[in-house]
Amino acid sequence: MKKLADFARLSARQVLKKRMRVFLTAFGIAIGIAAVVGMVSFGEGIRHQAIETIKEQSDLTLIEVTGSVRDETVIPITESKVSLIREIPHVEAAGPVYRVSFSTLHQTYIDVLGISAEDLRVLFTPVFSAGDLYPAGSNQVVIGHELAEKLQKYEGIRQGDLFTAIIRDYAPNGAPSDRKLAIRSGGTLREREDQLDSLLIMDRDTIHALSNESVPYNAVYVRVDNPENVLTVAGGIQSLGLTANGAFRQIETVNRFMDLVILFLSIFAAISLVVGALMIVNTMVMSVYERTREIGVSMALGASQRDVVTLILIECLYIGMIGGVLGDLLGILFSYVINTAGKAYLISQTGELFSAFARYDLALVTPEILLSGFLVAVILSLVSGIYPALQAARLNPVEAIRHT
Amino acid sequence: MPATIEVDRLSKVYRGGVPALAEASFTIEKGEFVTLIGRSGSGKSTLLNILGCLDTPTSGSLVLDGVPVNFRDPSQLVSIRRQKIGFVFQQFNLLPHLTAQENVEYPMLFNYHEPKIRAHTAGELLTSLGLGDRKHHHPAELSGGEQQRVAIARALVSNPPIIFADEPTGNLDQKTSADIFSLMQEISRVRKTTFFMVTHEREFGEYADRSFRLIDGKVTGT
Ligand SMILES: Nc1ncnc2c1ncn2[C@@H]1O[C@H](COP(=O)(O)OP(=O)(O)OP(=O)(O)O)[C@@H](O)[C@H]1O
Ligand SMILES: [Mg+2]
Repeated sequence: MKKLADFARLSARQVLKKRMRVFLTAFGIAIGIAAVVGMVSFGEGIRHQAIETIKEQSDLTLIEVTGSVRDETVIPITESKVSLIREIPHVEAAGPVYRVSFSTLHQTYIDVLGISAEDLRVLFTPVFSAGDLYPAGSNQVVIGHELAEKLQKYEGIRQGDLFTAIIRDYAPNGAPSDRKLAIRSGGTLREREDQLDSLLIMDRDTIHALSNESVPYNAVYVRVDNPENVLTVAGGIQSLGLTANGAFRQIETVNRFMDLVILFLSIFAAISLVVGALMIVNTMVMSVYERTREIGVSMALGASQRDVVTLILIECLYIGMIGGVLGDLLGILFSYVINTAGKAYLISQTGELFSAFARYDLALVTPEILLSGFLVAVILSLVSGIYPALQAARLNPVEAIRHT
Repeated sequence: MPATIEVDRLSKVYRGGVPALAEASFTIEKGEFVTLIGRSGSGKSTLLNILGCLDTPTSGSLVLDGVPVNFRDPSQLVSIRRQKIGFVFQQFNLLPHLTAQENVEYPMLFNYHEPKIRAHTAGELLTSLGLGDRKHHHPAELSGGEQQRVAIARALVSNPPIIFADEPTGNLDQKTSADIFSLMQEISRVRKTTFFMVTHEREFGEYADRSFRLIDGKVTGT
């Protein structure tokens, strides 16, 4: 509507005429917006920090896929599922594995990972303190750092030794029977602070040959190209009916928790927004009252009810925009104070415990937060203007013109 | 030539039972200058507000410039006010924060015109009413007579066939009143605009094409 540009200019005159009143009203909204922006930035800062910490401490791009139970049927990991996983975009590598367990002659319990040497190399980039990867189909194994220490301590097994693993099978009637398997420790891993430290790793085909029938894989390890894509890939895996797990789940948990925390912080901050909105209602009701005669005259001169509503709402739009900008500025200031004075105080109070804070900003103001703050101010002002605007539009022109 | 205002048995009873207008019937031709005289409380403003589509009658019918008015259709009332009617008030009722020219342009905001056309029309009108050097003054900087001339320009800006004026000289001294009255008469003559003017000044009735009297809600002299 071409009218709108003219109306915008006309309303701007009204707003400029009552600069002080408009500024004070907008300031009321601004304080609420600043509180929300500050609180959300604070929450986002903490979220960012928690996620960065998780990223540093864990292998984010690794997903462990397992079968799942849906509607009481087990969805197994078959070769075709593995192919489908490999086709998901952003998947760099996917290696199916078997998980079994052995014990030693001295009853040390050993968790075994059956994986092809190539998959192990691509997915886990193993670094050896001694020895090397196993050849395909061999009885040679790679031993995790922690397990290697344990085997040496309690069993006297060293790098390069040939030793006996006991595989326990159960007959259909539940009776156990043991088989013996001679394996050679062909490689020892450096410490890596992940699950491989306590595993015995050997070729997948060797493990597969141990069982008579063909069994589904126990898991698939998936390497994603980039941490940002992990959730998408996990979603793709889930849509295949499988279960995806990994360090990224921790991030999901943090996100869910922080969403809740931020929501609560914002709700409290939003109480001041309600006060601001009431101020706008009050200002506009007064403004409509003062202008009763002007509105009546406008109606006599051809303004429709819709024109009157539009004019009042444009004024509210201005108040909202001024309040939004002011609120964002105050919010940035608020965050700055948290990041300087607040941070210094927190570190002096908690010392070591929160040393991580020293590296990051406590409050993280993002363009999204500022944009949302601005939009909330504008929308809130428009909503607050509805009642006064309708009141103005419902004026009886004859009575309004007679109003003094 | 069709009549500009056709009034048929218009009555108005205010809430609370005050009968302000009783079965008024008359017709006014295009370009006629009509005055309405009557005592305070006789129903002059009531009649004028109904004719101006600002108020609704209790019964009766009204045809303006060939259009039967449906008082229950707000959008029709708005478009009639925009296209067929200009108002001049006793209190001038200019918007104080707008200049003379902006006040004259004001009705054209609701009945959209390009800003250039608006400014041109308003400027010409003000000049023709002798206010060429007052265009950018605010109402507070103008005399009563000047303000009323601005208000007349505002009523004329959409070039409506009818102008309703409720005691337009009520707030002016005698000399200025006479000036404003003859200005309106001239406009009526030159532009063929129908004027319907409420006044207390009996004298004006003598100069009008026709003069109605309103006594206790009843129109005479038609
Ligand atoms: N809104 C209203 N509600 C009830 N009665 C009203 C209303 N407006 C006017 N009246 C009554 O209707 C009658 C006519 O009023 P109106 O204003 O038309 O008179 P008027 O002739 O214009 O008087 P004046 O010369 O003083 O302006 C009066 O008795 C008045 O009290
Ligand atoms: Mg009156």
